[in-house]
Amino acid sequence: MTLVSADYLRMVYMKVQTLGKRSAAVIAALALAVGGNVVVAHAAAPAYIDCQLFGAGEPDFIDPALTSTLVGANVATMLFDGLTDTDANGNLYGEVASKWTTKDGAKTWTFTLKKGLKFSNGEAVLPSSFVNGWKRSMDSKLASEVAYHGDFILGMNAYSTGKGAFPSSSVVADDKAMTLTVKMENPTADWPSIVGHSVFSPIPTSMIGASGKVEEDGTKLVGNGPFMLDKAITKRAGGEVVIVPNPNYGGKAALLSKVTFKISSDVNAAYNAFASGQCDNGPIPAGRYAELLGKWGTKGVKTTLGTDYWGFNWEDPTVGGTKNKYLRSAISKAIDRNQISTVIYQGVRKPASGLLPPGLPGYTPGQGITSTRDLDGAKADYKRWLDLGNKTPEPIRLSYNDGAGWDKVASIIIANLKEVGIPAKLDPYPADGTYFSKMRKGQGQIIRAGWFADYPIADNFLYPLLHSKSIDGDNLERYNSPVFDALIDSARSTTNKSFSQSQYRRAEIQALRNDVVITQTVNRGIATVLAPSIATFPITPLGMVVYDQIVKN
Amino acid sequence: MFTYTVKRLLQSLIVVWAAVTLMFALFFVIPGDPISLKSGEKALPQDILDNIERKYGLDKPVYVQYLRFWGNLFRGDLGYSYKNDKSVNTILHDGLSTSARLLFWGALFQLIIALTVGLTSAIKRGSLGDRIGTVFSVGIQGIPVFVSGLLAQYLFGVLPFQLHWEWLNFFKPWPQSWHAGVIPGDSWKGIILPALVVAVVDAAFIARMLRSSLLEVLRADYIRTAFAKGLSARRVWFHHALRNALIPVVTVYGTSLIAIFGVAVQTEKVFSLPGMGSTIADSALSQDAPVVLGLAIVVIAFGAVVNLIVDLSYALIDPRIKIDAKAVH
Repeated sequence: MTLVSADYLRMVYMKVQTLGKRSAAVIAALALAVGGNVVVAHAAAPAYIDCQLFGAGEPDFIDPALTSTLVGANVATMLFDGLTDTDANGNLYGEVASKWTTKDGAKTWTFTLKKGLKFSNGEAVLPSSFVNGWKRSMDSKLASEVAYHGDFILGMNAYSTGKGAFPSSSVVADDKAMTLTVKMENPTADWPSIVGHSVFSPIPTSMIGASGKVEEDGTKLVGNGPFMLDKAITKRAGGEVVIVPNPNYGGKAALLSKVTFKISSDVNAAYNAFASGQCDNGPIPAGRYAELLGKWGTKGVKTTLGTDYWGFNWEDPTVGGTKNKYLRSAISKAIDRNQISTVIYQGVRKPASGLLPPGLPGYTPGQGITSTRDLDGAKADYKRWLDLGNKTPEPIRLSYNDGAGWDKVASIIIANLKEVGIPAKLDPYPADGTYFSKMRKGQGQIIRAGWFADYPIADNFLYPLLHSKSIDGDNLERYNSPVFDALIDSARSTTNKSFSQSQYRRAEIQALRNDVVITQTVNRGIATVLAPSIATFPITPLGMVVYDQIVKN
Repeated sequence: MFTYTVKRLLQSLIVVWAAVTLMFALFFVIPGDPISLKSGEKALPQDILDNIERKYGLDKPVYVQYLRFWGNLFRGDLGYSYKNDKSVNTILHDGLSTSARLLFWGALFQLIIALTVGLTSAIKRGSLGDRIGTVFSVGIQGIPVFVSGLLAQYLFGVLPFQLHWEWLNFFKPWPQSWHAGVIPGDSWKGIILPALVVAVVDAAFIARMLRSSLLEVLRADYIRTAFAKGLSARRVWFHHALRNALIPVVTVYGTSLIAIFGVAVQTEKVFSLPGMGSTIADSALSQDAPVVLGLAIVVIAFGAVVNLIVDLSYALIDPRIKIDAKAVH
């Protein structure tokens, strides 16, 4: 059997165009005769050049075991398929797993894998491929920044911190039955969503024990995703990451013949490269969203599972604790989220009504104390707070990391507060990367923060951001509420989905409406400008562009 | 000459050692550390941070890290980036070639522009060309690279693409293949804009320098004598005047080559070229010490070599200047 090349067919087609139907039929017959038994899946697929994904910086890694950035993970998910994944509509589905079951109150999970799937080198994807992948990604010697996601698994923390061996009894592969059984540290009802994270990708035997440098050689980073690396990558500004369809892919074949990710160090330069015809999509420089989306269209805009918010330091004598609730609610009601959305983000980030973003399973709108500006309510609450004998000894500080445009958001909020009579001032921290570590130590008063989902579950927002066990971690507000903790703990320990979602909803209300420990501003979104030739550009709520489903005319 | 050259090389080695030691020390003085910086919006567990510290030997005392750094350096190993685990040797290998090519073309364009503008301004003093040259020199010097770079991308990339004037679209990818090291094998247009942006900043200054130097030389007695002897104007300008006028210009040009390095760093960032420019900026911000130190060694060594070449070139341009090791001493 012979495979006729796309160029050969294109040549035949051109002959058809020029010679008329009868002659064309003869030529086509001859062509087929010369070509032998022809197998043609589809016409020549177009190549695609992306200037957006790495439009403002280099990826850390594209190795799924190591990448900790959205952009790196986006490429990793094109190279590797996990047990599960989330589609462009936010629905969880089995990717390598055909089904999964649980027992012991969500403490044991068994995944049944699809048969016949292969890595790009032809090796079969087996349950043991996942064991090998997890052994590598959680290995303390690999020192992956995302290894802690494995802590859900019984005994994995000891392995990933170098204090124990790999917990083989917690991750059991049966290659004959095509099942993978995982024992959890605690009841984990959301495990099927969590295991979709790229750190839980499988690897072929050739990658067992491979170091982080494996991605520098295109022949060694071998995955089971719709694409494979074309060549050794150059993770440098001006460099490229090139992926091509995986010939052994068991799922739906990619519609593109090649995807080239151009790495840029400057968002303006990356946009100019797009606008001068070098790429099929490009990033939007700050402040030009309205102009450029108006010019190029909004097909590349998507609200993602992220929320920006400002938190109140629970231990601060002026804004923290139960006694200052009215001040916090006054501030929350005073903020004009619509103004922030339109002026700063030109509509790409939408006003938020709670901490959990739209699209997240269990999302309920209006969980915050308010989602629209309530100036009268703000004034009334502020008066109540003053009437209780409170005062602001000096303007309240709005802390933020400088150099990322947060000063503009803070300035809007300060102006909003001024209308209520609440004195406030900017409190910038240097853009040296130390902002969050200082906030974790309780240095802020009103703290600029935000969160993007690792996996599409409510727990991924509420536990790390607000549970008392996350103090010194991502609970920047140092919020400590036994009521909130109890609600989260009960939600985590049940396999009853509707009950757990109800508990998460109540917990969100407790923190945002009853205690007003944080006030949400906008939900995050991503936006890219697209060339007119791009017909379909799917993006998942996790912000991942589904490159294998891009349609280019 | 030989003794002088050897002494200068030894001096350069001491400068490199002192500068690198100082920079090494600075990484332990400035706030924050590269590993805790990895915790951004999301906090990393301390166990994970400990793993990363162990991997790069940052759990060892400072003096052990320092000795290990020099030990590895003598073996030709500059270490690994904290950011993405890439070998610094590889980063330098990849980046240096691009930076060197940009510098070559930038310096060449600079020389051509400076000589053309400087000579025209001096010879046709007070003419329209001189005035345009003066305006050009003053105007272009004040524009920062990130502005001139983006402006060039718009005028010679975005705009022509929109107008379908592809012949004027010079904003193209940096060439992937090269002949003889510096001749683009493909996408020759890709070098034009970055090289011009690198060139114009100091070209204007050098052109002004050449103009004033030439005007001064043209007033000298021996030039008047040369004209009186009946030599052609071209022979007087190029053979007698230009040669003498070039002495101060060469000094400035040498210094400018080092300054170009700084301009090239910014240009590489604005044009996203795979050189050392963006790497320097990004690595410094993320406190990626191995990369910054590796690049520092190259930059300092480059500066030392250029200074040495400039000093030695004086003797070649003007035979009256002799380098005397004793005099230098």
